[in-house]
Amino acid sequence: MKRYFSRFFIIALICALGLSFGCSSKKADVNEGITQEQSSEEDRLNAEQAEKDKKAEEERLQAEELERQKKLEQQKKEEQSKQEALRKFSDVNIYFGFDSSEISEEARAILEEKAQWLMENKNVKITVEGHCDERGTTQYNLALGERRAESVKTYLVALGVDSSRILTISYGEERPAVNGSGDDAWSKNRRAEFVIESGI
Amino acid sequence: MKFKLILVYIFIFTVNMPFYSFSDEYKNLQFIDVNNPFINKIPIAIPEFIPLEKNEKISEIIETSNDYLGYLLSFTSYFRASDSSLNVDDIVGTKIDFQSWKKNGFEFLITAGLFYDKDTGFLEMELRLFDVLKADLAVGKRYTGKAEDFKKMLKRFASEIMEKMFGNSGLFESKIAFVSDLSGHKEIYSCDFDGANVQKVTDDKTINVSPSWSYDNSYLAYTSYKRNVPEIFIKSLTGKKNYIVSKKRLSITPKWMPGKFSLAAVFSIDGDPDIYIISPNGEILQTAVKGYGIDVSPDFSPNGKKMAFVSSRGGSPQIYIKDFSENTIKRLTFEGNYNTSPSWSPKGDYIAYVGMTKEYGINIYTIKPDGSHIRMLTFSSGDNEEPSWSPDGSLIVFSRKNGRKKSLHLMTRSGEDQRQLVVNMAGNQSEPAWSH
Repeated sequence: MKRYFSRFFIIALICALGLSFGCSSKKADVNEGITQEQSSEEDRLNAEQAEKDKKAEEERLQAEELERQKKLEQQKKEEQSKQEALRKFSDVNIYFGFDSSEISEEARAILEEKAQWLMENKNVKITVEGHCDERGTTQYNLALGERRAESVKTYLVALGVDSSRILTISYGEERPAVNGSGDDAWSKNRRAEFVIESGI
Repeated sequence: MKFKLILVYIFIFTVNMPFYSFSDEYKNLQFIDVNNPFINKIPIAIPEFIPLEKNEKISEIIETSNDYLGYLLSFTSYFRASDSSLNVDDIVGTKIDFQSWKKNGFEFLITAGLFYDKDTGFLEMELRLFDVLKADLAVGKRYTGKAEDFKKMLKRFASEIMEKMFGNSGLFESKIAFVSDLSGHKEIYSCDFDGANVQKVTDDKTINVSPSWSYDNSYLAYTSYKRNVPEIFIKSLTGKKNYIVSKKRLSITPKWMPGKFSLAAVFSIDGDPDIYIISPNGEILQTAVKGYGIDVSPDFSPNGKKMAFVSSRGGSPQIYIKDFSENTIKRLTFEGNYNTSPSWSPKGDYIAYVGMTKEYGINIYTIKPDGSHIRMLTFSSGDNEEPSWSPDGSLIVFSRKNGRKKSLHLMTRSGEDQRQLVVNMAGNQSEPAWSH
């Protein structure tokens, strides 16, 4: 009986030990399992958050960048349109009829734009050059070129541009835009040109 | 419309007939044929000059001087000079067989005897002009000078002939100022009456235009962009003070007054280009012409009492005459709608000008100051512009644009003998102004 007992005891002990061992080990396992489970969830959440944050940050940055680029683009566009307006101002001539210093309908529209630009660029001072085609005398054309430049000035002043900002000069037939004779060359040479002197 | 057409027709008819006298109908009429340079010219014989002492140098001078005198007289377009196959044995009239010269078709005869002193290098020239028909001496002169000045002596003698026969002198000593872009910039140049001896007057590398000689030829006034705007520069040719006249905007087309140290000039100080009389230092002495539109290109009558000018007051550029004593302005040109560049002849009898028409382009005309006797002098040989009279009134220098090239040309006061002047110059030559 004693043997049984002791055997039983040993077995029990072993069992118990085993059990306790197993239990404890199992318990430990479980515990650990739970902790692990818990932390990986946290991690996941954290990571998710981080991801989210990152994304948000990226988005923000992207948006900022986009904004910056937009602004840059805008600035560029503004600069470009400014340059374009400037170019347009100095590159676009107005043209006259034969022996005439009258401002044509077409020229009026151009001068209105030019006047607008001059109002927006208040520091700018310009010279209006009067030119003629090769027909007629050197002397008469010097006078005619002066009439052309002056009639342009008068028109710009009437549109509100301060007269002190506009100088005029006649080059007569001395500086043709296009060489050669014939209606085409002549009509391109009967012109007023616009030169920006200062304020840009 | 009908009226206008008729007017134009009459104008063209009267003006052009002399130049288109090709049909038989017109052949017998006394029109000037520009293709025949010898028509109505005086036949003058210049036989070989006679050496008063023979040496090598003298025969060389004799040949060149004989040629040069023939060149001078032919240049005037009054003479048909020829050295002829006939010779003279002596220079004095009593030894000349006028009948044989007359038979050979000569109306005048020049004889010359030359003596060259080898030791001093001096040349003596004895020159005589005979009227063959009258068998009489017309001009006799003796000149002494350095041998290399033989051209000067011959010019003087040629001037004596012109003075005696036509009351004209000063051609051979005169100069012509003009504008050339030879250097790439328009500069003022001058040359002798015949286009020889071209010299640069300005070297500003800018735009210089519209030269005008003072009455004594000691100043040249012109318009210059040297200071970036058109201003009037007055340059002394004798080393005296120079002047610059500058009013705001525009100071152009100076023209000296006859016999006075003052000029007409165009300023735009009162709205549009008007003509003022100024002193060389820029003081305005008088407002000569002021009106609506452009007033430009003043040119005085020889006595200074009248001034022709161009004005657009009537809607298109036309020539008007301001009478200073009556204080009136009369329109001179009515034909065509673009008439400019008036140039009063030294005798005052004609005004040369430039007319532009759709039919014939740009040509030179003459008109009497009373508006009569319009005559077209150039015809369809390019754009003909900027006439200026020789001081003796016999010739007109002008610019002609043929293709892209502008050059100086010469013709008689009636449009004959059209020929180029300053032949071998590259670039474009324009705005000739003959000295006084």
